[in-house]
Amino acid sequence: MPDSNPTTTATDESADATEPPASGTNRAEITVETDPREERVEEPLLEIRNLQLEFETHEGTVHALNGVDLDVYPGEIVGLVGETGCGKSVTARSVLGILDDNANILGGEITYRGTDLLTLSEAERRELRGDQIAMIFQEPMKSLNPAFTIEDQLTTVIERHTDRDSSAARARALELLEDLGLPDPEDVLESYPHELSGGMAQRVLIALALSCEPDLILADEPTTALDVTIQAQILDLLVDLQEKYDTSVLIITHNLGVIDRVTSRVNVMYAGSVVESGPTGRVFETPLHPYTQGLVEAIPMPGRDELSGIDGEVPDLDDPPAGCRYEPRCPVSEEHCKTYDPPMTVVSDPETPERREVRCIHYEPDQPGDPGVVLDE
Amino acid sequence: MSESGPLIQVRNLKKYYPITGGLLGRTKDRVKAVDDVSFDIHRGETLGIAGESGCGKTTVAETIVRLLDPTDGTIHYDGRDITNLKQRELRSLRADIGLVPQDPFSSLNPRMRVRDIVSEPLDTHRDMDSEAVTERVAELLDQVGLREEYMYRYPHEFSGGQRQRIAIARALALDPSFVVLDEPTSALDVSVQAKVLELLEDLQDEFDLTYLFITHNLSVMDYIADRILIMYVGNIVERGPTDRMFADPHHPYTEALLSAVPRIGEDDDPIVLDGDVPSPRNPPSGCVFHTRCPYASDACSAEKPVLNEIGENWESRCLFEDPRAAVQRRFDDESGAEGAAANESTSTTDD
Amino acid sequence: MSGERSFRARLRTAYGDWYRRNDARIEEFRRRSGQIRRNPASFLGLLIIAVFLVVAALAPVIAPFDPNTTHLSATFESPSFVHPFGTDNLGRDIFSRVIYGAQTSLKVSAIVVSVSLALGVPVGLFAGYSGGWIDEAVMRFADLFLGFPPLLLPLAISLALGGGLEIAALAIAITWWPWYARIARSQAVDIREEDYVTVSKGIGVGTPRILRRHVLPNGAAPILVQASMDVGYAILITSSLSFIGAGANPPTAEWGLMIASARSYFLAYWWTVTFPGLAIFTTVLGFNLFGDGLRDVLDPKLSRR
Repeated sequence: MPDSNPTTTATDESADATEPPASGTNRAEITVETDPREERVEEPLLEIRNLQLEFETHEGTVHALNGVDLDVYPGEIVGLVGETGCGKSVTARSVLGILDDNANILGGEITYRGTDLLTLSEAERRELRGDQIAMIFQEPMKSLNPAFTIEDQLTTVIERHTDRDSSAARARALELLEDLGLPDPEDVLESYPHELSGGMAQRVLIALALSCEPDLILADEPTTALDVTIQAQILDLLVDLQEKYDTSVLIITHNLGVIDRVTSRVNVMYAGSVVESGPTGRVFETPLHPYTQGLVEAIPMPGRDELSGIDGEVPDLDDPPAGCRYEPRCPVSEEHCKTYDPPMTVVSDPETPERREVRCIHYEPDQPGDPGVVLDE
Repeated sequence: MSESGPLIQVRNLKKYYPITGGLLGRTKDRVKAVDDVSFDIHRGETLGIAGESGCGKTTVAETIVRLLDPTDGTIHYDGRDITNLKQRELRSLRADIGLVPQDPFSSLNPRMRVRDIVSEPLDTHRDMDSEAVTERVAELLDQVGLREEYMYRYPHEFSGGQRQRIAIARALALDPSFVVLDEPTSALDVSVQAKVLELLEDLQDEFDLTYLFITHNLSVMDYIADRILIMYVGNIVERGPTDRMFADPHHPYTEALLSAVPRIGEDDDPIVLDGDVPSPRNPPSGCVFHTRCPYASDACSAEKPVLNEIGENWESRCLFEDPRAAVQRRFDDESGAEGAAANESTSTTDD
Repeated sequence: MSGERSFRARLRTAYGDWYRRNDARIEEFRRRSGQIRRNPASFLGLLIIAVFLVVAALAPVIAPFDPNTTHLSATFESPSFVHPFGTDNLGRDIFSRVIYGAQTSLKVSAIVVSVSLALGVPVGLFAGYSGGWIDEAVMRFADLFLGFPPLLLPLAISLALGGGLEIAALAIAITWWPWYARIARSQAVDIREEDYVTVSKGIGVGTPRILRRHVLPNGAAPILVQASMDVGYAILITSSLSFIGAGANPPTAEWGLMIASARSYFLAYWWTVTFPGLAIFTTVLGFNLFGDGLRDVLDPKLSRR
């Protein structure tokens, strides 16, 4: 159950973060910004704006991404959370340009260090891959080539993207494996993937990702296939490494607990777009979007006697709803939601100076709807 | 069905797999998947078994329903010794047990329609005509919240949550007393999981079911299990009532496992264990957990502890009554005065 | 349903019921056949097979002449309107003989493939599912047959038993069943690990039923693919046997036999060999193309999850 039960009041831009709570209650006040979004001080490393994508299949067109907005700033760990089919993996693959052949990007931009990646050629994108943007996948065993030793696989990547020769590359590989806490790096180098445990293999994958010191690492369900105690190790490691190498990490997962543990900001995704984003603690404490609320309430937690799931099913993306994609399942939807797909609205939360955004009619000042309806749920 | 004793009694269960090698296929070694496990399951309760890979939880479940043959030990079902019964003799037993396996995408035959999948237990054990079967299948689907017309469709047309409901309907077809659920919600999204757990609880109440619930997800376990066994490399390391155990875990592994689970809203400072989960092929000597235990002492590698009672119906397999205090004592001892004569005994066992 | 309702109405309801119950099956079939239609190569194969089957079935109706009637005054006539494929050394119409040859080939390949399947598949499924020493014993037994060159054993058996087309067909089947046994066994080994099999065992379902309802339907795909291609090979092998004299006996209209008989004079009269040869080639090609397409259709990974 979320901690504080905020109400909202639509005020003008002068509402600031230090406004005291309404008297007589302990509730914080969440106010809706009517200003267009203000920029954060630094430039984001990665900026995804209105990314739209569809897949051509035999059975029809799957409208997988419906305007994804996402930022990753330098030196932070950000989460992208959502359930099966929401499009989180597709989004990550779009950044790297490793989509299936039947994928069509219909619009939007993916800006990395000021350059729109979608305008680059395949050769240019390949340059970036591994070197500046790296990816870690879910199943470590399936991501390593079973026919080659770890040394082969690591040194190949190192030699390809940096100026080292083979002995320098090997030395660098050893260094990386040590950094990753592997107890016998020499042994590991000589091993084949199947000789390693899941946790070790995942460390090797992370070493691969770090080998060229990328600025951005996309980690797609990096710990889902691992045992709980090993997961704790890997998450711990990721946080340490992020600090040491000063990279940014985008963690993609369906596990909200993982997000809560390691990320400072989170984006919640549903059926092809980000529906809420903000600082992790606050988003989970006081979720703004009805979907985020539903998710948080569905998680078994100590002291929680009842679980409530979300009624209905994820929409079929062959034939998605015309308006808000969450509307069919939303407990607080309005008639208007059936035909209106809201944009992201900036919302200010007195409990944090950081920006929170939500894609819901109830937070839009010019639309019918009332934030109180959502937050008092 | 008349006794009021536990529904299932397992004593000293062992399941070892031989490792053969060499020209003549001699048994070189054994994988001790389950190494001397004993427990009861009481009627109407939900007993949970939790643990990480290789701990033996699935093997225990498969052995007690005789999908596997035990290497040693005894299993009693409803007072009857079923340890050594032949498969033929077990037929009537099978009608009383339902199975819900983990992966909803592989537990349903993709070439069979839902009606035939759910009716398989009926076709095997009962002599019913086609109309009666259809009626029963419709009834079962309704109980799990699915529409009757779904019975004519194929599994691939359904989502994970729906498939799992189909698997549950199949498990309940013959009105069993006992249902084994092996990670029934691990492959499902959180919001779907909540609904399936809710369904399982309702069904348990309505039909007086006894559940054996296996999962590595301790949050789910906390929610659904009355009592729980924590397993590690083939052994039970702690056993007791869920709420007390989770509020104040005794065994260092339970403690580490609980703290490792990432949860929302916790100020995490998780205990991060070193090293990998050992393989049951090569279990550590003495206490199986000593290689990763933050409180291990020298004695722990030499002596394998028994399950000691630490509370009502609550046991833990540790040499120390209070492992954390024992560490503190050891530390104090070692950094204490020189010429340490008075070495406290390092093992206290309750009876 | 009152007796007053008209017969037509009841029929409609019954059909409606049936359709509702089988809607999913029909959908499956439509989807899969759609895949065949879309792939040009396999569609071509399907067409060829269709032509072959029609020709074989309707031979007496289609063939302009009797295949065995000799006209010694009309030997070696080159292809013409009356005799599209010309005539052979005994004045028989080659076109009609090729048509009747289709009938022969169909009969033979049907015997070969169905006997091989009937022998090989149950044996293989049972061995693979059982595992252990049963598996070993059966597979080693099957291996004995696999050691022989494909033509040699059928040849020997056929000659020993006096030749003739049906004997040749059976002889080939005896050497072929191990291939199906192998495929079936390998499928059974994979499928027995599947969760739905474990659950069925837990329910108490007996082995025969598990094999029939769970293992076979899910393992049938590669077997069917192989079988459909093998129809073509069966024709080829039978023709080869006939060619070397161990198969069909004259005056049977069989493609391989026709080629053999024309061996000595085909250089002068090319049509005596070309058309039967083309018939073999086209038919085998058709089954091959179709079999390939079938593999893609039946591949579970390609069907929607």
